[in-house]
Parts: sequence; C-alpha cells; structure tokens
Amino acid sequence: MEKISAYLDGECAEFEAAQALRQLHDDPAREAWSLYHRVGDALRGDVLTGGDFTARVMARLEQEPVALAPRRSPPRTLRYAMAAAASLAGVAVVLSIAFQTDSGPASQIAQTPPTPSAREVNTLLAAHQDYAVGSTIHPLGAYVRTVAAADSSPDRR
Amino acid sequence: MQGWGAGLIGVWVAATAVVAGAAAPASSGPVDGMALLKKVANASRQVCFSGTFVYSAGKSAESALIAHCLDAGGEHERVETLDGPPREVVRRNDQVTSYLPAIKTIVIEKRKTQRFPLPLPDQLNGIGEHYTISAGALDRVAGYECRWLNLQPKDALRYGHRFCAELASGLPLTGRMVDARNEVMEQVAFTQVTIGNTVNRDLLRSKYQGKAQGWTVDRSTVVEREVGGDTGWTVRDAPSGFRKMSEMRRLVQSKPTPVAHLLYSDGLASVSLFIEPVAQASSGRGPASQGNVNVYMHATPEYVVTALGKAPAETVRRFAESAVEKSR
Repeated sequence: MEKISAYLDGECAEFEAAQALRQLHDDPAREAWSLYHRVGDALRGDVLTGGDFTARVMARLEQEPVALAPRRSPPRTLRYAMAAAASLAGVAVVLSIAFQTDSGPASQIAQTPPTPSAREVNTLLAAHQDYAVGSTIHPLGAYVRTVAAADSSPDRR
Repeated sequence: MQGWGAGLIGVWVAATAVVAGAAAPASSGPVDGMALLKKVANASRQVCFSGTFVYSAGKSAESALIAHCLDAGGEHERVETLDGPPREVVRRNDQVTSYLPAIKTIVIEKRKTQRFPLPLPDQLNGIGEHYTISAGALDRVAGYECRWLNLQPKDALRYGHRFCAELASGLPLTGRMVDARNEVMEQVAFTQVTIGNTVNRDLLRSKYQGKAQGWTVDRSTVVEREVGGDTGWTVRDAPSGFRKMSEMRRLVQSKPTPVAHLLYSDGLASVSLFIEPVAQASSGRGPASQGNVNVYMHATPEYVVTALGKAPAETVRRFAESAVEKSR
C-alpha cells in the first residue's frame, strides 16, 4: 500500500512503480488496487456507487502515511495523486491542475448553509469536463482539466 | 487526397482565399478579425501538427506531447504526458483510447455525444455579438511567426481570450484566457511545434502498439449511463449569447438517481447546469470557485441546481437561479 501511494505520489522510480502495481494484482493488495481504480472512477464522476464514495476514498487516502508525509508540499502531492487516479480510470485526462476551493462570502454568515466544498463540487466538475474541456477553439484545451483538491478538514476557512 | 498536411492545407488555404476575397490578401492591409477567427477555428481541426505544449494556470504548469492530423478517415490525435505518471491518449474521431503503462491497462471510450465539439459557422458569428474580435500585432511563438487574435468580451459575463495564430496555417500557437483586468488566468502554448506535411505520422500511433499484449483492456463505455434528450428543464433567461449545446440525463458518481445535465456555450465559454432532487444533493449552497472554475449551487424547495464553468461568478449564479421546470 505504501508503494502504491508512492506511485500516486509520483515519487517512485519507474521500476519500483511497476513492481508496486504488479503487486496490486496479487490477492492481499487487490482491495487496495480496487480502491485506487475506483478513486479514478470517482474523480471522473462516472462510476455507479451508492453513498458518499468519494468521501470514503478520500478518508482512506488521508490515512496513508506516504501520501500525506509532509516531505513535499501537499498540493503537489495531491495534484499528482489525483491526476494519476483520474488517468488510471482511463479518462482522456492528460493534464490535471488541482485547485483548492475558495468558498464564497456566504460562508461567513453563521446561519446560512455551508458553501460547496471541493469534495461536493468534484463529481459535477468532472461530469462538466466530460463535455466541455477548455476552449472550443484551441486544440490543446481538450486535454486540460481542473480537478478540485479535496479539502480534508470538515471545518472550512 | 495526397499527403496529410500539404493537400489539406492547400485546399483549405484556397478556400479561405475565396472567402476572404481578392481585395484582402493576407500579406497586406488590415486583417479582418472574424476572418482570422474562422481560420483559427478551422486550423485547430484541419491542420496537421506535432509538438510539445505547456499548460499553466495559477502557480501550476504541466507539459505534454501532441500530434494531430486529419485525413479521409477523420481526426487522428495522440497526446502523451511529460510530467507526473505516464499517460498516453490516442483519439480517432470520437473513440478515445488511453494507455496506462504502469498498470498495463488500455481503456477504450466511445461516446454517442460529440466529445470535442467544434464551433459551427453561425456560432462563430455569434461570438462576434458578445466579443470584440480584432487582429493584433505580429509575434513569434515556438519559432513561428504568428498574429494575435483578441476576443474581448463586450460585457462582464465572460472572460477574454487571446490566440496567436501561425501566419500560414492559422494554428493557434498559444491561447490565453484573461480576466477583466487583462490578467492571464490560464495559458496553453507550444514550446516546440512542427506544422504541415513534415509531421511524422508515426507520432499518431501509440508508442505501446505491439507491446501491449496481455494488457488489461477496459471497454466499459459511458454511453449507457447517459440518455440524451429533454430533461424537463430549461433556463428562462440564459445570460446573453449562451445557447444550449447538449441536454441529457446521466448517472454520476455517488448519486443514486440520474441528474439532469444541460450544457450552454457562447462559443468560447461553457457552463453546465446539473439538477437533482434535494434529497440526494450535497449540502453546500451558494458560490465557490476552483481555480478558474466558478460554481454556484441554488436550491428550490424540491431541487438543487448547480451551475459551473470557466465563466465569471455572476454568470454561473444567473444560470443557477434561472433554471426552471418546463411544466411550471
């Protein structure tokens, strides 16, 4: 599981990554593989699952010591992890740029409902980008997607 | 048809010359912005090119290789990442094949709905109603001479766009989206490019071809998860210039029942509306943003409407608040 995370983290050497991913086909690691495969599905919003699957997956990712080890700035780690996960699912994502969600001013008013979180927006953003990626004029725009860097803490700023 | 690039470009240049008229040769006199826009839009699909491009937004940048050609069989395209985990995407018209070497997996997707919509001629004319189109100065990008094409929004409901179009082919060598203060929000640009019939056609083939025996092939398509047609929803007063491009019911992750999805575009910017019952919608309401994407979630007693896209916050708010059920 650590190696898998390292791969998603973009930190593994190619050989190590291949080894880690081969391991995934072995039985003990199969659950982990299934999880990561479904992360990609979840991120592109194309899989049929009940319940808040993304939240469960993100909770698992957050428990991963390697993926979350602060030896590199979290946004980059998260970006690669999500880019990898999205591409593992095979969607025509080539470049994925992750952004933190900025909540609107409404979040400062206590009695109003919370503004949409990255986690909530991710699914629909992926669905939007299935059909509308980048500029319709520029040929390269079709391969660039924005992904939400899921906010890990429930209390938003 | 002979060759890839030369034949096509030759035919296309001839056609453009007829459209542009003898009075406005490309080499002299003022350049018509709309003519240049049409040239750019056509070139993106019809010109043969290969090269390296970089996409940057905010503090992030990533690069990839691309090769693209059009022939009698349609569009062929291959893109390969240069940063992060290796990924390769090969596209033949609407069929998209992704190669994931690290896990020895090939994923094949085919959509009934057009995945890479191209603006139609009347849409390009529509762009002129909501953007001031002008041809600008000459410049040089990736070793080619190019001319800037500026699309400046006439209102605050959309962002501006700038392209530098290679002089001969019209291929946009760089594209920028700019905000109201003309600050670049995102940019995609070639750092190296080959245009025309010198493009090596081997670049259009997967580098894993012949090496992928035994790889897992996933043909799970998205088609059965989408049903196109009337969803029972419409937008009463869509922001001016935005027209409906597609409408469908589709299943998306973590949603037990299909959501209605309406996609609107003004030819450059696109905004999606998703409508779902309150019971299955997430709890967020109001505005949010992710990079250049603005989001607005609006609740009615029974439904939650989420609008999002690379458009100003006011635009997505208006979309979210003006979605109505047709029967009411």
